[in-house]
Amino acid sequence: MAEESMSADEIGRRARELAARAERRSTETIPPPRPLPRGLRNPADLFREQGVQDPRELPIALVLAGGGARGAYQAGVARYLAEERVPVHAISGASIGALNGAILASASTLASGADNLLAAWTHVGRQSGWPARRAAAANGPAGGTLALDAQTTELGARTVRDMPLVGETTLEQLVNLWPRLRGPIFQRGFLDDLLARYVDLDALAVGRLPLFVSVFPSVDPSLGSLEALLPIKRRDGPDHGTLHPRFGWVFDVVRGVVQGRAAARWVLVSELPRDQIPDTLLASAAVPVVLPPRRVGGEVLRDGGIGDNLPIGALYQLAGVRRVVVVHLKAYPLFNPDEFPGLDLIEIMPSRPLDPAGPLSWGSGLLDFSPDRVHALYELGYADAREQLGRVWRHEAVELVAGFTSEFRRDAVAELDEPR
Amino acid sequence: MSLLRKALGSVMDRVPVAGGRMVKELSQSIERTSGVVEKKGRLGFFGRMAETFTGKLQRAVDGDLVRHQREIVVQLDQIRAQGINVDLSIARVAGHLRQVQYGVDHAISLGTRNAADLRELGLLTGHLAGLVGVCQDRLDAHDVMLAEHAAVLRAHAARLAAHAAALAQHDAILREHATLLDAHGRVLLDHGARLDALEFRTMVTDFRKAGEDAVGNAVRVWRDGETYAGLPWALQVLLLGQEIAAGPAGAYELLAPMPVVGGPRAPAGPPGDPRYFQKILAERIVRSGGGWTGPKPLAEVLIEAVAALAEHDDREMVAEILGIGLVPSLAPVARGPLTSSFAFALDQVVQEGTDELGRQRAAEVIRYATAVRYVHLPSRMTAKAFAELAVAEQASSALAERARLWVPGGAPPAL
Repeated sequence: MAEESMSADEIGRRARELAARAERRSTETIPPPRPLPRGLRNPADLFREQGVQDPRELPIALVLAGGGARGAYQAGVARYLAEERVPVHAISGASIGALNGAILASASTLASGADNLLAAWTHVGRQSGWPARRAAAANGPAGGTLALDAQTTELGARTVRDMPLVGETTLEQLVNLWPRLRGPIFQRGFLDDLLARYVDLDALAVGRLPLFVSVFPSVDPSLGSLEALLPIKRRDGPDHGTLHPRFGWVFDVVRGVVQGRAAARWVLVSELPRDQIPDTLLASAAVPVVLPPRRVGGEVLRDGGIGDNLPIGALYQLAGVRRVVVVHLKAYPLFNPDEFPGLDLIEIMPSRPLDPAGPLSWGSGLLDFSPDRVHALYELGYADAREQLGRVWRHEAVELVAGFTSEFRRDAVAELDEPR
Repeated sequence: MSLLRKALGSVMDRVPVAGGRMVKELSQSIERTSGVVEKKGRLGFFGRMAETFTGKLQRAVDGDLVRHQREIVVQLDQIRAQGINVDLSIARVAGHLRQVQYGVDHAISLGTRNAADLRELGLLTGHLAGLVGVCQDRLDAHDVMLAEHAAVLRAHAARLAAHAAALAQHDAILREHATLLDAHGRVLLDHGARLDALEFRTMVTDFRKAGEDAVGNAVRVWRDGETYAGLPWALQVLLLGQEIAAGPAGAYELLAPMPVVGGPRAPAGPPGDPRYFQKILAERIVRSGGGWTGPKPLAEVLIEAVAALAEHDDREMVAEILGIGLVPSLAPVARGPLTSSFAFALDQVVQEGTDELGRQRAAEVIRYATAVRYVHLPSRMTAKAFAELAVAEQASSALAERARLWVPGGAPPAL
């Protein structure tokens, strides 16, 4: 197709327009401003803008296991939780865990509760006094092992993780057993006095912080006792009364072993009448043999740990609490988290054996309230909580970060296919 | 949030450089544990008995199980951290790719517009090429035309050269003709001068002839008593002399001594006598008689002349003819002393209203007339001398008057 002829003026005019366009275009070396690609945004800022909640700030329910004198370990855990300002919305405890939980739940804040708990355990340690027999310690009456931390320092074939917190030989444990059974803790009224000192029962009655305790409905404490056969005047008191032994606890223990959690019962303390709260709490801590059962509302109750030493199931009654921190008092607890579907369980377990070695370890660990052990348990609980909770939080944080970065990466890659 | 940020930062900064070694060691440890398990399965009776008591192999297997699980957890942590790093790196790469997309879009946009402009440029270049072609054709046509013009110009140049040669030749001829014309001009000029001289001489001759006729007629009429009758002789002589000087005779005497204007005097032409008619008139006046004999005092002549005129009008008329009463612009030429003496005497008489001029007054008049002109006037004169002087004064006055009115080289004054 032949082009129409063009005059020289027209050619010149169009050439000038062309030159002007070329000159303007020569300044367009920098692309027009576009929104910053999502992949080049500061991921830290975006992560902050998403308002992801810090795992430490997620509300938790605290489950405190029973374990007698090992309960000082939970005081250290509480201290760490208070320092990290972890919001505790409910507490469930068994045995010594119930008493610890009562002190924490009755306080106005977790920090003050941790202070009260430490004060209570310090009081208990002082009242218990030093054991009659214990191996010489390099830097304290509790023995050199207390000064060692939980790091994996090689000590021959064993590691510190395998070493008990308090070293006592079987002989020492045997020698110390009787004084411990006759210690002030198990004397009449000591625990009542302790409860009155460190637990605000009115606050518990109000139920600012829900507190569950597990109790074990006992059979008749005198079932199978010699009282029925011998003319022995019955006295209230520990089951180990020398002149009036009772064996109802044996039936309870058997029931607890056989029936397990089904034989125990959870009690929401705030739903109890005010006057039943102390006995219920003390009943939850009534370790067979060493402490007598308590009669509450016409019902004899024993240590909830007999049937349910970890009253996690009670927390199902509370809506909105799904994150549960379980504080064990055994280094190797036989615990199956799959039994509690729907709950996010975080376990804190002792990194070292809390009981001395030997055949009497269980009893010694249960009864040794000596101040050095209480202190060691407290420090270990704090250190374990920091290490194990820190690890969990770190993993959760990494999980959150990983989820965020995965989404961040997916979003950035998807942007490549978006129209420009 | 510090924990999250700390975790993010630590994960982002972590580089699992030892991951490969840990996996290798874990793999080796699993192989060892596998060997222990196989060994346990192949134990004999006593071996199984010893194992039942010691549990050594079982503890080793259980320990390895836990350790392997822990190492797997560590590996998982590292893999997770690496995954986070990979995610962040991929996201960053994707971001840079997005920016590259922006740049490519911009480049494509620029390229598209540049292509459009290139097409426009191509079209313009095509048009320009067409225009250049047209211009080229026109230039070729102009070149052809210029070649033709050049040929014509060359022809014209040849012609001009021929013309120039002819002109040069003509110029030579013209120079030769000019030379001839110059010679002819000089001849013509010479002839013109000769003609002028001849014409002048003819004119002088004509004036001489007219003057002779005028003198002859005037003297004859005067001798016949037809003119100046009743006037004393002296006044007649003065008036006759004035009449003759004012006529062709005066013109002749003006021109006769002059050379021919514009050319040499003719060799044959005698120089004219400037007093020719004065001599003739004086001679004829003397020959006619009527004057006195012997020398006579001029004062007496004055007295007699005044006395001879009885009428004052005559005296006044004669005095005015002799030059009295004229304003200086009308009488620029002074009269001679003799004429002035008679004019003053007559005027004196007319002014004084007397009939006679006394001797004293006559002498005063004469002295006055001579004093005015600083000329000498003889106190006694013969009639011949009187006539010659009177004629000479009248001729001189007329000559001066004509010379004042006539520019040399111009037309001669009217007769």
